[in-house]
Amino acid sequence: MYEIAVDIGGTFADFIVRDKQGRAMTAKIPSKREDPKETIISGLSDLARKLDLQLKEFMPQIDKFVHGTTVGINALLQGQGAKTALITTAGFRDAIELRRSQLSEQWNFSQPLPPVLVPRYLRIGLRERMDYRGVPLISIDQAQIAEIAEFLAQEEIESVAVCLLFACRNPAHEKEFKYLLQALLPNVFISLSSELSSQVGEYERTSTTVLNARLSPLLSNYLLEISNHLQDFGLKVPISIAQNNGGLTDLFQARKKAVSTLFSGPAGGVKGGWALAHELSLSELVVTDMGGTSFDVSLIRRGKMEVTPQSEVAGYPLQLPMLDIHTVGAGGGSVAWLDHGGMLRVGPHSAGANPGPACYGLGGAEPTITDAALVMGLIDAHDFLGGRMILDVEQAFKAIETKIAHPLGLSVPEAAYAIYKVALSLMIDAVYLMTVKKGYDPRLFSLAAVGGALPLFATALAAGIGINKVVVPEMAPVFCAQGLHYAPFQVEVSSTIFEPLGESVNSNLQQTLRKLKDQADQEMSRLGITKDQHSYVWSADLKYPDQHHEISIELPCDVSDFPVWQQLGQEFHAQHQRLYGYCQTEKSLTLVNLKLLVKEKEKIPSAQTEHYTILETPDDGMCSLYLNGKFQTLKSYRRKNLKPGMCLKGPAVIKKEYTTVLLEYNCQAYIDQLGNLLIYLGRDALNECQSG
Amino acid sequence: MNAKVDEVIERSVIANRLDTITKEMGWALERSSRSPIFAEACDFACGICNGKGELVSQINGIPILAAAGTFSVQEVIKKYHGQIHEGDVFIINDPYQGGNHLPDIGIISPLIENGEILFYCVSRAHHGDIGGSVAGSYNPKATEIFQEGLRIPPIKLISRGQIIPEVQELILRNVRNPQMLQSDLWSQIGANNIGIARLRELLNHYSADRIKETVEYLLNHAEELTLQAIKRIPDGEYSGEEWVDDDGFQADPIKIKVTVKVVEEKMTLDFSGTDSQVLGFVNSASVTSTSAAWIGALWALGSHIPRNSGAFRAIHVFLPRGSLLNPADPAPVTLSTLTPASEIISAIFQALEPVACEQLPAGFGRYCGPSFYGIDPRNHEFYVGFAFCALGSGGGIEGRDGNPYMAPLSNYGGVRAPNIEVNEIQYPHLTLCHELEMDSAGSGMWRGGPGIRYSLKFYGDNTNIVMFGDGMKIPPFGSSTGKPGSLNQVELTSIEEQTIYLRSKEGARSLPNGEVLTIISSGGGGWGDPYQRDPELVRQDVRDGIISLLKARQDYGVVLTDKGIDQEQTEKLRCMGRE
Repeated sequence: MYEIAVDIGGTFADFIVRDKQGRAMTAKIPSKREDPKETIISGLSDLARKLDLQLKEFMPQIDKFVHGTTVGINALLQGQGAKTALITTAGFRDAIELRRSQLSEQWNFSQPLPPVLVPRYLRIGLRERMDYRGVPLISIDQAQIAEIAEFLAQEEIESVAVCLLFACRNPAHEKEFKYLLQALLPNVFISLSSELSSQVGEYERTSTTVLNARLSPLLSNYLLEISNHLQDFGLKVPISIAQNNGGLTDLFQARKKAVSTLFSGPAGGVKGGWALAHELSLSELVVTDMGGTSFDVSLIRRGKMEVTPQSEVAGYPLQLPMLDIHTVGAGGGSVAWLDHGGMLRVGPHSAGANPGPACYGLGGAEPTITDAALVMGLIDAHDFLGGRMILDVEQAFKAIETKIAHPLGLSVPEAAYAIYKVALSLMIDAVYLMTVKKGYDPRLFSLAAVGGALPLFATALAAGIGINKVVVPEMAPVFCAQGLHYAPFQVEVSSTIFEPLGESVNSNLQQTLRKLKDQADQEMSRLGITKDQHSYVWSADLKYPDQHHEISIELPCDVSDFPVWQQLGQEFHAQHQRLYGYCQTEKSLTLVNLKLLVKEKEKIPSAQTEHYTILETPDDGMCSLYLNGKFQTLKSYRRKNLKPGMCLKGPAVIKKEYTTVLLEYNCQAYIDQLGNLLIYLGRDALNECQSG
Repeated sequence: MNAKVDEVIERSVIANRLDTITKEMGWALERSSRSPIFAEACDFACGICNGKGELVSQINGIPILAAAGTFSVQEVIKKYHGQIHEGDVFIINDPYQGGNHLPDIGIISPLIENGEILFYCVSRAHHGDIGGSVAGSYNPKATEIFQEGLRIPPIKLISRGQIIPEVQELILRNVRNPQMLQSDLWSQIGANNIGIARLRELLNHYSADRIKETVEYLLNHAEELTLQAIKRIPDGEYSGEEWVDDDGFQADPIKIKVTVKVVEEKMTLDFSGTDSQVLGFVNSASVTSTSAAWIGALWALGSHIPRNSGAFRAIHVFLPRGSLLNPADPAPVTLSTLTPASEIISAIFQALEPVACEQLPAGFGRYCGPSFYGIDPRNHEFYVGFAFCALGSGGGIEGRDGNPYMAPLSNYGGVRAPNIEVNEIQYPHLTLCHELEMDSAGSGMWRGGPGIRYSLKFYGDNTNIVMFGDGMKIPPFGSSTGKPGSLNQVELTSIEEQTIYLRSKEGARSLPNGEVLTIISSGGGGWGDPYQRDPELVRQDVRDGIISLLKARQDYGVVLTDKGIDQEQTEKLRCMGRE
């Protein structure tokens, strides 16, 4: 029997299969945007071949199929989606156009805003009202619903977003509306804000609901098609879909909640970092990933992934808990440029894949991070993407010379080195912001360097932050798919409380806790997870009474437990001090939300046992690199010639299929039993390497 | 290694790091503060100044606060030279000594390394109440600053890490919401602490000299960019005028006049010809006036210029003494950060529009709405709030319609209006309506953003309102033959459906139970000839309820029927109109 994880991104589709013994095979193929079905089947065929099986023999043997997709986010970025109407409380239909008066670019009046996703004539005010406590003031008028249904039918609306004021406190009106409208328009998709978020704040909730209504029908069709297609080829199990929070859900839920799968690919990456952290017994890990356009940072802390309660996608707020990923515009294609005053800058603008970096030879004239790395000798022109693309050094040289070196009065290698260092500083700042802002000391983390060109920067990045251990995972090319493989089914429920935090759990709260647990258990059993496989994580959002933002405090075990409840307050004050530079222990606290996350008990990758035989490591010749002001000759190794247990000393470069690792002077690296490259920095490097 | 390479690299690296640090300060301030004005509405700014008090880096926040930090730090330096120690924290709000208006309190923390002050972290934030004769501290009846609240000259609040309890006590005794103010001061101090800690880490990586050098470079760099932009403007004198409705005491409008003098790379904003100072609180002391002038000019010069003291020093500002924009102490000034700050910017835009490096929009709506206060019948506690949801809209600009709800100019893109839901939890009222208002947008080829209709009903009979604002007489200007936007309008409707109209500046008035307060904010001015507007866009505006059929015909010359645009009639009408 086999478990499969498939991550289909914009350019590549990654596949990983594991057998019962945990042995893995991978495949990476170009993604055909116009025919994802074909992409999936050809990837699976590839895997079957590697297992010496026919596809039709292989498919029925699959007992878990996990899918991560970028269909939703691509549709959003390309302006596609269902024809959507928005229902709000009468008198309040413009929240999504008013945007709470905030702008991302305030010094440029010409800057266009992200388009409003529902035009005003399709935004309809429903005569109803709840007050701030969720007490109904005006009840729903059935006659108006009939009118609305008629209008929506006439406008050929495919999808309806509903966000009524204070539905977060009392969803009764939203539910009643859906019930009545669905009876009149059985084929229209209806998305309620109360099904997505129980947070106060109509702008962010409306935005989330509109995104969901717009994208769900499209994602739903896609998933259904894929699922049917796979079944035609003999798949016996239902497919599971990866969500933004790093957990899985089934087809039934995913089809209704496109917004919760928008970032399923990147979430897989974080989960991959989580798996790696467990394999290597690293409880604190910074996971960094570098693509063509961006540099992404996420954290594993105390062995757990970090979640953010809200975020933004393409300029639209998204009020959903999701894995916290910080992105800056420093990818391989990010452009280096001089501003009007002659200061060197890198990104956020990217040359993309076409024309791409100047060295792609596709007509790009702007120097990029990739061009700088090529000129420095960090990338081998004939060995890029495993030799699939020959890079044009001359073009890279020319672009850097005309745009950077000449105007600054530097030599071309010097300019390339400066670009490299400035890009590096952007990455260091990104990691810094992600850690120190949360009150963590970044030096206590290890660093995983995942995508594309990142291993070139990895040791310097670690050194810049003060981290002394770096991992370049063997699975890096299919890292997200690898992560999805470990994703558990999970369900999140929450309840808004808004009461002073008492000394102990009163009977009202007891009831709420029971309700949350029942609700979550029910949903889990629908997903087919038996009760003995549930694991529970309770958390409470707390704040000082007059404060506007909460801090989420996770509880070590059941909240109804008295001592645990008592800890809540202390933990809050401590975190407040760490995050904001002060705390007020004399103040009482408000309990805003109680939340429960139920997860399928996770398969935690077993920590590998190490063998420390240091093997003789043969090099594969020398190469020339520009570092610290001069060209230097370094030993060069090919990853495929390195065996577990082998150890090497910097300075050197290690060439892998999709990337190159730069080992600086004070670094030691060795290959572990799983094929990961572990790098130790600093004085103790040699000792660490020998003792593990 | 070529030392030049190091320099190139370290400049960019240190610049990025300074921006990261201010971002982190802003984040801490927003997430931990109490007053809705800064936690929800983000009415704050924070930044880093060098040892001379020059602003080096700051968050993107409220534009009018962008420059204020440098003035308050410089006042601290002037007064405490030689007596500034590690662990000291200064507090300041006096508009006549480094502040902009009394509710904005500046907190300043120095970083000292080897006896030398390298940096000051500064955070400025608008507090809900700073005392004075009206809750909320916007007092349209004030004729002296003493009636506007507590004046705090630059003084120490914390000395070598120890809070000075007497200072804190004196301040808290003078405000209506001492608990909240105290917490919010701590959240400002906390943000500065974070800034100081991060700067110390920067000092672990780079020498103090290198950092100082880089900071100097960053300032010179911004100055250089500003001078280059000025040079692109043809030499000459460009003048613009804008008017303030009134000062709340006399009915006459008050003139702001600017003459922008450009010679080579030198730019002077000369406000000679501006009316004299007035009795009411629309005066603007020099800190606010200068800040407004700087940001107005920089908007015209380019979005690529860093908003720091280097850019500011390239722009010279002359404010005649005794004028509206440089009044003599103790003239009241509380409204100044909204009006006339926005009108100073507007005058500059009108002066520079034909020659500016960047495209400039038509007129923006002005702020106008009440503060409200009383005892909340739900919990019997005192509250004071502001009509942040009454914001007006932006003017059209070549290529794009004006953005709704983005006015006034002084706050452009920096204020975050609260959600209606949050407001109703916070304050004892029910919101009846918050929607775009038909026919309020100034017509143009690119029209203004429509204004907002915002209606409230307060619970109980213990609500008082104080009106403050402007723009009930003078609308947002139309640009390049575009039409002006609409005026602000505020009305009170009693249970008997009697409606009265309020003036933009009115002292405290208590609201009888059930009375409905409605604010209709200004739509922005239009850009370009409305007859040039694509008839399809006009059709969509009518479909969307932004303009009426009548307005489509009268202002835009577009005739619509059930079937859509009547091309023939439209052409005819537009031809006739042109003749």
